[in-house]
Order: sequence, then structure tokens, then C-alpha cells
Amino acid sequence: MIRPHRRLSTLLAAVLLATALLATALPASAATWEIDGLHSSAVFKVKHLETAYFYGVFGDVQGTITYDPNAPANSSIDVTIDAQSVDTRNANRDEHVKSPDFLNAKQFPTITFKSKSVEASGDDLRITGDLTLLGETREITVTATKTGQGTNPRSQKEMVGFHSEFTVDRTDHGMNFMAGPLGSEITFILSLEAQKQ
Amino acid sequence: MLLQNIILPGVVYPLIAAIIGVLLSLFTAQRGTSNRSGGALTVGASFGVGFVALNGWPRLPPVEATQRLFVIVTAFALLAYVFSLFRPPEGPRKITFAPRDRPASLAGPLILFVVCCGLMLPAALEAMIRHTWTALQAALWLGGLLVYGVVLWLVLRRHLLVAVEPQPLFPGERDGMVRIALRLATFAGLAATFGLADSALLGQVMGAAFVGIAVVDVAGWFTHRRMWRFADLSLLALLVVGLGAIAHHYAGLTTWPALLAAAALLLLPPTSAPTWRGLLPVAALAVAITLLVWSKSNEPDPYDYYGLGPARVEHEAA
Repeated sequence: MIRPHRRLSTLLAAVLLATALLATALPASAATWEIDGLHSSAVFKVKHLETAYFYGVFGDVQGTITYDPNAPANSSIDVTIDAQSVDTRNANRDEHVKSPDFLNAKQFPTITFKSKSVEASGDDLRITGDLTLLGETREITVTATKTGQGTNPRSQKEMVGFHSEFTVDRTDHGMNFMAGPLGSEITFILSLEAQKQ
Repeated sequence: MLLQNIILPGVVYPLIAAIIGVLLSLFTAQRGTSNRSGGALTVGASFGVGFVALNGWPRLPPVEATQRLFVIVTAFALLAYVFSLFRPPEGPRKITFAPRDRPASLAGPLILFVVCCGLMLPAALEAMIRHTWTALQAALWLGGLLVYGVVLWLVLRRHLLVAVEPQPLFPGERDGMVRIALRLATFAGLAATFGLADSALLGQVMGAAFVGIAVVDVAGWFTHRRMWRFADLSLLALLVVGLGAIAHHYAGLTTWPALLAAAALLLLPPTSAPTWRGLLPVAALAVAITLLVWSKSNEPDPYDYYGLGPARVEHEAA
């Protein structure tokens, strides 16, 4: 004879098993991945006096990626770069780059990119979104390449990496100071590592 | 590069605009009257053209401080000029002190300036209000700058307007040429002070405005006309208070040079003062510029970014 409480626990176990089976049978949904600022890089290059490229980096990159490996088109990305964190290996030049001549960092503390649509293209993602620089928002399309996926041995969290390189015309965003001698085109190189939340 | 990116947009184009502005003012002035708002139109034109040539057209609505200052200053200059065309001509002056020197006639232009400055300051410092300051700090900064603007307006009035007559200003000096030179040296020093902050652009647009001020003074010198009016000094005060606030809060113009620059303008002498008093603002700005150059040239910088040399490397203590 099966006692009533035994019947109840059997029923509960069956329901849990069915739920688990159902969950594995459905396609994985897009998870949220938080950008790891410590292991992500935002680099830019600008041509100096029409001669050579000089590079600078932003030390503070944050944001989230919604990424589904099985359905990349469901992905989205939201990146925020702190304009005050610019580093060009020269303190005087850093202050100039942060001034109203260029980044105007006190008035526009962040540079942001928010995706609007994502298309899968082989291993790459073609991401169309809004880049906001100096308060001017422009739609751009960038290609991001997935550079790897794994598990962080310390946090035991899943990790994913993306790399993207794209060029914007700074004068489109009102950054006109010395446009010409200092290249109008800025190339951004983003290498993002994100951990699954 | 120097010609195309600095001299043409920062000097030549503003000079052409200023000459057109001053000629327009002179030829549209009513017969038998002194010129009206020649300064506002001329300085507004040189500043506006210099700003656009150096920094491009601002977006509408403007999104940052210098763009908002551009819109306010150029709109003020155009309106001052248009309204001046419809003012009735002055009657003959038979008394020593002009009616404009009476407190009642002072109130209207001063109130108009307070309103314009009261609109310009929060527009220029909007990012500080939004991101940095508490409500109390915002009130203190905006209130303090507005009070400074009013005091500067009164100083400029005594420097440019009061008791300016066709006869020589000082015995032995033809129409105060030295005085004009010292005024121009003061505004040139102000442009250099702004330019030695972290943003070269602010110095360049102040330099473009300086070109307009110089053209007004030279035109006044040759035509024996009184070129500066209430609207003109309001525009000058708006411009220097706005650019100074932007240079200090957004472009790293440090406290002491900023205070010296602010004090220098308050030291502009009244028309009745002896000529040597005009040296005081120049001296104050010379100290401010020296401080800025000294501080930048002493910063550890193995590449001498500002070209103030010699290159300096910070050595670790043994």
C-alpha cells in the first residue's frame, strides 16, 4: 500500500523530471553576459599629421551582451566607454584629448554603442546599432568576430570573446578640431571578454 | 597646416567678417548720430565666423557649451544691430553728462544683460549642473558668475562708454591711442590665457573675437566715432564670462590663472583714469600666462607635448 504523502512526492518528482526534459529539448534562450572590463580593451587609432597612426586606449569599458550561441541573430550588445579613462601615454596629451577640442569628456562623459539588430554571417556577427559620441548618435554597422568561448577557472563562469574593428568619421559627431592634419577618421578596435551571468 | 587650420580660420576669415560688420555699421548709421551697435555686430561676426571656421557649424539645437555660447552671442549681435536701426536719432548733446549715465537709463540695458547672462550661464554649464554639482554648488557658481558678469558690465561701461567725447581723452594723447593699445593687449592676453588651458579651440575663438574688437577700435580711431554702445559691452561681457567659465570648468584652466584673468578685466580703467592704469590688466594677464606656461613646462613630459620645452622626465627618488 502506498501512503498518501509518498504518492505526492512521487508525483512531484515526475513533474520535475518532465520539466527538466522539456527544458533540454527546447533551444537555448539568449543569456546575459557581462563585459569584463579588466580583460576587455577599447583601442583607437588616428593618423597624425597625415604620417603615422598613433594609438590610444580607454581604460574603462563596461556593458552587457545578450548572446545565444544557437541563435546569434537574437543577440544584442550594449557597450559604454568612459571618455575620462582615455590614455595616450602622455598626461598632457590625455588632458588635451579630454578637452572640448576632442572628446569633451566633462560634457560627454561616455561613448556608447547600443545594438539594434544582429545578423549572423558565418562565425561573424553583423551588428547594426547606434554609436553615441559627443552626444551625436549615428547608426553604424560593424562586424564582430567571435574569438573564443570557455570557462573561467577562477569564477567557473562561462566566458565568450568578441573582436571588432570599425572606423567612424569624427567630424560626423562634431569633433572638428584640426580635422585634416589630425585624421578625420578614427578606427576603434574593441576586444570584449564577457562572463555569463 | 598653420595657414589652413589656424591663420585662415582663426584670423583671416574673422578679420574679413569684422571689416564687413564694421562697414555695415558705419554705412547704416543714421546721419548726424554716433554709430549704433557697431561693436556688437563686428565682434559677433568675427567670433561667429571664427567659431564656424574652426569648429564647424553647431548643431541645432546646440548640444554643448561652446555651441550654445555661439548661438546666444551671434543671435544677440544680430538682434542688437537690427534693433539699433529702428532707434530714433539722438538729439544734440548740451550737457556734460549724457542721459545714459543716469541710473534710470542704465536699468534697461543692465536688466537685459542680466537676463541674457542668466540664460547663457546655465546653458553653458549644463553638464556641470547635471553631472557634477549639487544644487547648492550650482546656485553658488551660477549666482557668483552672474554677479561677476554684472560687475564686469559696469566696469566695461566705465571703460568704454562714460564721458567719451570727440576731444582727446587725455592731454597729449591723440584720442587715447595708448589706451586702445592697452585694451587690445588685455583682450589678446585673455585669448592667450584661454588658449593655454587644455583646449586650444577656446583660445582661438577668443582670438577671433579679439580681431573684431581690434577692428572696432581701429575703425573708431580713423572715423573719430564712438563705436561702443550698451549692446556692445553686453556682448563683450557675455562672451568673456561664457568662455572663461567654459575654460575653467571644461578645459582645465586652473584656479589662479582663471582668477587673475577675471581680475584683469575688472582692472580695465575708467575713461577718466590715467593711462598707466591700463597696464594693470595687462600685468595681471602676464602673470596668469606666466603661471600657465610655467606649470605646463614643469610637468613631467619626456615628449614635451606643448612644445614649451625642455622635455622633463620624472625621476624616482633614490
